[in-house]
Amino acid sequence: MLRHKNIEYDEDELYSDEGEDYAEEGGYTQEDKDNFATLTPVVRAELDEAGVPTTAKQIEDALWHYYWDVGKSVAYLKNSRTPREGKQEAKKEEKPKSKFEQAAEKADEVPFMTSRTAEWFKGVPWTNVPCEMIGQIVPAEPEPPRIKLLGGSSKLAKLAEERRKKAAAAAQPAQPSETDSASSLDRLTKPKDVKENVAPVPKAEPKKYAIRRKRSPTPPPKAPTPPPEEPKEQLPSLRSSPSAFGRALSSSSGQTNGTRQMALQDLLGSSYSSSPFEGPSPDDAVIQKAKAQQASNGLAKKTEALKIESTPAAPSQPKVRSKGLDVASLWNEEKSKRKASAAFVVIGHVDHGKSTLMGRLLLDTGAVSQRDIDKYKKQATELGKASFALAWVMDTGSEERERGVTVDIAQHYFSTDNVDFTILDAPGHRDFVPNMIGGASMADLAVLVVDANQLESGMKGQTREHILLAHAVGLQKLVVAVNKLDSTTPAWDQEIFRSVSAEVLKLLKQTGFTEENVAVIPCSGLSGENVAKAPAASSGAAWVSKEHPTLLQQLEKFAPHLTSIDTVKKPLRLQIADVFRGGITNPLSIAGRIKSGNVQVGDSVTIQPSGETATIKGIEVSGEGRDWTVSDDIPTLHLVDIEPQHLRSGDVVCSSQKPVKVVKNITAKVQALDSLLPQRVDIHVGRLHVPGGISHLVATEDARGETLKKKPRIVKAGQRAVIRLALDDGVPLEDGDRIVLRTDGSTIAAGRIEAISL
Amino acid sequence: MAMLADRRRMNAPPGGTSPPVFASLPEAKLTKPIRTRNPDEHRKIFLRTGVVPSASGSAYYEISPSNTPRQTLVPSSSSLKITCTVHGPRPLPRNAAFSSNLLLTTHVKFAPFATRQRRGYVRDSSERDLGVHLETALRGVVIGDRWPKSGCEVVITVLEGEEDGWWADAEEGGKAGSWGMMNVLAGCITVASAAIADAGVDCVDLVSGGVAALTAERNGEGVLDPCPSEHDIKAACVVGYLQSRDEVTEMWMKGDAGSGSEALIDNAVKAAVLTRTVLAEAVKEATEMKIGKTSEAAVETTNTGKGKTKDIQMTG
Repeated sequence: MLRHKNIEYDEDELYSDEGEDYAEEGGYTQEDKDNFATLTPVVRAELDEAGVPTTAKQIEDALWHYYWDVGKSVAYLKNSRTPREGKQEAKKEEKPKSKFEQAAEKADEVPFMTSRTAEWFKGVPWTNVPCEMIGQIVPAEPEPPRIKLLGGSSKLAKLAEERRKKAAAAAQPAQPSETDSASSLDRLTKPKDVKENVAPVPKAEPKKYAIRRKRSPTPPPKAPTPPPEEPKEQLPSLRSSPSAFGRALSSSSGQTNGTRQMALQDLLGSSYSSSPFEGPSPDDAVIQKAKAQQASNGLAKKTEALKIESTPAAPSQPKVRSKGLDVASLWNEEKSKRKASAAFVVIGHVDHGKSTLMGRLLLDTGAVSQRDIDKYKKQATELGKASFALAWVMDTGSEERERGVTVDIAQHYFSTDNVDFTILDAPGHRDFVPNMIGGASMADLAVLVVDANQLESGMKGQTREHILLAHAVGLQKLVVAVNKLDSTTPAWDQEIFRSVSAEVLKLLKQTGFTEENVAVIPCSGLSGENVAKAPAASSGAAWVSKEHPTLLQQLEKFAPHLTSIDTVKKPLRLQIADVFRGGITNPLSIAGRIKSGNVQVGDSVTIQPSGETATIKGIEVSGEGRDWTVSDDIPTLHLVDIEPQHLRSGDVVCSSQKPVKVVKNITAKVQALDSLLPQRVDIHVGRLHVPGGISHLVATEDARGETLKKKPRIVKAGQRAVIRLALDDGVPLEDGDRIVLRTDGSTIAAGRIEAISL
Repeated sequence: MAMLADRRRMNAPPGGTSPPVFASLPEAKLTKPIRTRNPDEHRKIFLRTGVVPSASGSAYYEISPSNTPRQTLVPSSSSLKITCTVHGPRPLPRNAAFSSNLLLTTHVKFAPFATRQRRGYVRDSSERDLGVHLETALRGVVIGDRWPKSGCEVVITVLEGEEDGWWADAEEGGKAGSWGMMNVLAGCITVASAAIADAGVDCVDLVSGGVAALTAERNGEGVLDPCPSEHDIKAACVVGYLQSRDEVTEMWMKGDAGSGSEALIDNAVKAAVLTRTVLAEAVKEATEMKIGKTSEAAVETTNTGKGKTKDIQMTG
């Protein structure tokens, strides 16, 4: 009952703006009428010849639309009038329908309401619609939903009838299937023929069923023989009629829901090729073309030549082999033959002449040539700091030289007849105390440099703090070098020396150094008296040589220290003091003091806290290559198989078998130098310093280690206490490590770790 | 208590129900069923595709129940009934990783009433195991690389399972090992193959399942399609077999076949060849029906299309 209007692409609609140009039917001009009069008979004559009956009106229309073109009008009229026949039909089919047309056609079939309602209701009065114009709207009857599964007995009866009909139809001779696809289904029922290249298996006795053909392990190549006739197998029909349940379940599938769907094919047109993917795809065609071009101009060859060898290149660095030495026993054997070695740190207040004294020591022992010193002197004079020339031996950084202040610890080697020394020149400035702690923790003994003229400034400043820190990091032997005695008034005044040494000794005693481990030496770094050589008897410093040995002699006296075999056998622990580029052959090197254990070339070590492993490529101790090194040495290790970002100074190199733990909470026994509260502190462990906080004050103790008070609110300066620390980051630490707590640039406590916990 | 009840399912009535007790005739003596078929004879099968209209492909498989006269209400042996629905191939969900192949997933679930021992609603290990076996069987058939970025689900519901032994000697039957599973798997393979064909998923061949067993009685000869209640099975074997390619996509052997394992596999292949006849027939029938329908529809469209087209071609 649905009506719909066929929409036509009316030119009137499309070009309604130009309506004036169009003359209405009957509104022809005189000129038009003249044209009609002359041309209509011509057209008519031609049409009559072709036997096409037309009216005058049609001819006029055609002429009007073709702008008086007789030929076109005749052709049009012929086309529209003649009944369509075979040839024309074919011609028409040749022109493929455009997608748009087909879609429009399809849309025509689907009824829909046009938006141009004005046209729809054209000529319909608003009221009193005549009864013949009134459309009757009848609701479309929806199909009742089919009951699919569980039907009643009547349903079953219907099904039974259906089956009977089917059986009757089957009884009639089956007509040959009209489609290819259906006939191809027959292939399903029989197995495929044996392929030519497979040797046919001769069948000894006819088998009832086709069994799995066994493939012989090595089919002998045979000339293709015609396959023997396979015995026709008669398979019994296994098909059964469904059970009652099965019938109910499956019978409804016979009917499909009759709703026709608009497939994509309908919308996009039916002109599809049966095998659209037979030829190469457009992309393939382009690629083929490009390839052909490439081959012709030889570009392919060039690209071939550019190709990187796909086989992995041999590793650039040969894998470092470990010699598998038993380092501990080797060390034990060589112990008697070797010279003693010692590392000492030079500490003291800023500008008391530490670096200059060390420069003098190096010059006088021959570790630095006079030529170098002369060069430095010349450069220093240009900067107006001639007196700093010796210090420049130690201070190598440009900033250090310009400012005349040591910033970071410098490391130098020299040897006397008996001992190999390593100098660690610590910065004296208060801003660089962390570096001084790092240097002091690597040393065996300390040289405290005191300016005889400026004792007071030192006592208030870093002399005091350095003494405390040196004690805190575990240094026991200390040489006090009373420096600049050549510039006292008068020079080499024994009284000044005596008062200075008395005051320093008092402080050292307070701090905890024992008298036999402390020696006071008067000297002058700049002029070099009593550093390596005793002063001349004729000078004012003649008294010195009677009472005091030279600084170097005193160092040699203190130098021997015992490294026990147990420490050597312990797992490796080395705190990295410095990471640097050792050269082209050794792109990554570290330096630091081995706290315990031993290491040899080729060993694999773990760096904590990053947890990365590295291989030792080479070892240098005091500038000489070695195969192995043991605890208390300060070696330079050349590493491979690790990225530089995993190495920072303060990290711990440890053996991969027993790596050091990375901890965040520690319990420590400390000596308070200032009052302690639960507060934020910087925790220094050798070269490493991390922010953290005192989380608990556990107890205060007296000198003998007995608990005075549990959970104190405050630990006063000078008291011993057990405190718990929480670190912000995980840090590789072990029991017995010495720690220094600092806050706001001043040391508040020092002690050692009692227990660690994650 | 009410709170504990599962509100997502139809629960049993709160009051107790009394199960019916079927009294057998006093003279009826329970006897273990005996195989009446020949050793190389398969039970009759009914297979039909397109049973579930909402799924892309579906099939129903049943082994017709034996119509031997019986004295008790309980049938002496079960008859396998399996439905299979295939959903897909359909696009993978947006968040799924890219896959260049069709992702085939199989679910095998026994209906709670399918076996004498009631099954749970959640798939148990044996059902998941069957699912894996089925997936292997089907993976070798489906041409997965024609359907990139798509998934296909094969959902199998076993409406009536095969028993593991004779129900009357429950203790022994239970112990005998889950021989019924083998028959169920063979059925699953066949029905899934039919459903996949119905769904129009490209396959290299139809895969059919077959079971064979070595039995203790009759000198341990091999039988095709063993019904576990009729035999004392020593070893059994299931294969998924592509007849026209002569390939086995799945094989599951259970029990101790000893030296007879080769023969056992051959027997299972024989059984698969037999079930294949039914499978091919069912698929062919369904396809013919579909073709007939589409050609009819095509005729309809051409007829309706003719009347409308009155296109005048302008020349020149």
